[in-house]
Amino acid sequence: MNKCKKIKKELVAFLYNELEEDKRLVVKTHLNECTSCRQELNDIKQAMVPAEDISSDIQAVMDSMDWESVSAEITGRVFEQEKSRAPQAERKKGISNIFDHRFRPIYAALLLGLMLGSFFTYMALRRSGSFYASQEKITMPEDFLDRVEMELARKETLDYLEKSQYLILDIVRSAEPSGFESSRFNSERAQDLLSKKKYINQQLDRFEMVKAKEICDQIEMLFYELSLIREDLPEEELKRIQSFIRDRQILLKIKILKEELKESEV
Amino acid sequence: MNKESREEYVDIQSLLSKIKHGDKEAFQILTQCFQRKVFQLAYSYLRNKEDAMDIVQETFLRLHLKIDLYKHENNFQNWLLQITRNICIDYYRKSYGKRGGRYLHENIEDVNISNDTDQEQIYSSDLKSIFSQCLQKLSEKQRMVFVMKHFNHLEYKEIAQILDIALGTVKSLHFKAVQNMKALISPMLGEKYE
Repeated sequence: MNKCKKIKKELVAFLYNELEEDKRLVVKTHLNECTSCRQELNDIKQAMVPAEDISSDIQAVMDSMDWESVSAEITGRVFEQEKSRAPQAERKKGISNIFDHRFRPIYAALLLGLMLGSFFTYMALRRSGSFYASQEKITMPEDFLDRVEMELARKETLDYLEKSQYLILDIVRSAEPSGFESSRFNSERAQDLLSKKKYINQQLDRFEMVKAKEICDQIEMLFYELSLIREDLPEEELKRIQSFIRDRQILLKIKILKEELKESEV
Repeated sequence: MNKESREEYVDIQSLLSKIKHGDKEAFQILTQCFQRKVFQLAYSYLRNKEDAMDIVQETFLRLHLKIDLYKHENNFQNWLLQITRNICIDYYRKSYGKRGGRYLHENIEDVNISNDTDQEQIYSSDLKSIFSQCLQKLSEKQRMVFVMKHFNHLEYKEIAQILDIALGTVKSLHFKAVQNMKALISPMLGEKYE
């Protein structure tokens, strides 16, 4: 029984004549005596019969082929593809050249140089204290910003006064209502100046320009009235306004105030 | 190395050298020498003529691209068949693996055994069909060894070189392949004899 097990392992090699002579004889002797092993060999033989038929079929298919044209076709296609692949390879080579391994040490040296340079610059600046020097330079006198704002306020007020002066001069010079060309236009100018005054008010309060504020308030009143006028200005109304300007000497006050403001330039 | 094989060796070397310099004619001669062997392996493995022709084309294309990788001390035919074997396995996995093999769409039991005239011929055809289906059930390596041995009539030594495995492994794989084929086919043969 144990022998059968050993023999069955050799049956395939026996069938295909792959055993050495002494082993082949042992198997052959055993097969004469053992029905079970003989049956096993027959089963293998039987199962392998189609393999030979299939092998013949494959051979028949191969014999039916026109190998001459097959080789010509293959060669043609291979060289055709070779041509189409060549330009692509060239292009790739061009791009990959800059990443070539030969340039790697140069890239590495550049990177190292950059890193060391940054480090030493940082250390040098830190030691000399100039690293923070630039920050110190930015610090300025405490009142600097205030002075800047005050200067701006002064300029704004001057601008306001000048515009007011022109408008008031227009009103004074117009002897009659028709001469005071478009009262609607003047009304718009007055409105603009009123909105400007709102902004200046804050500045005047803040920097305690009392005198300027007083005059500006008077002008404001005047413009408030002007801004209310929608239609042509009645003659009495115009005269009333003109007398108001004259009585209060607004134009003179504006002139004086402007001079003062110009003198006090920062 | 006998005289004949030495001449063949020299010829192939000179052909390869010419091909490296872009000689189209030399390439065609080389193709004529080995196309049958390449086709035989591909067709035995896939059992489809069109697919086998695709493999032949791809094999020679790769040969042309990788010709510089060939080492003179190796057997050229075995090196070429190694390329074919790789392409075959990839092709089989991609195209056949998904649909479970060329013959596996029908069950072995479903193959119709007719009792009509010319029964012998029909029986033989059915048997080949059953055999092919059983072959698909073997593992990839067992199937490759079996195909190379029985359909391509290659020696164990050659198979070992092409598959890049030990000679003993090839023998063992062949033994297991035959045993498995017998185990798969015998029950059905019994039924048909009855």
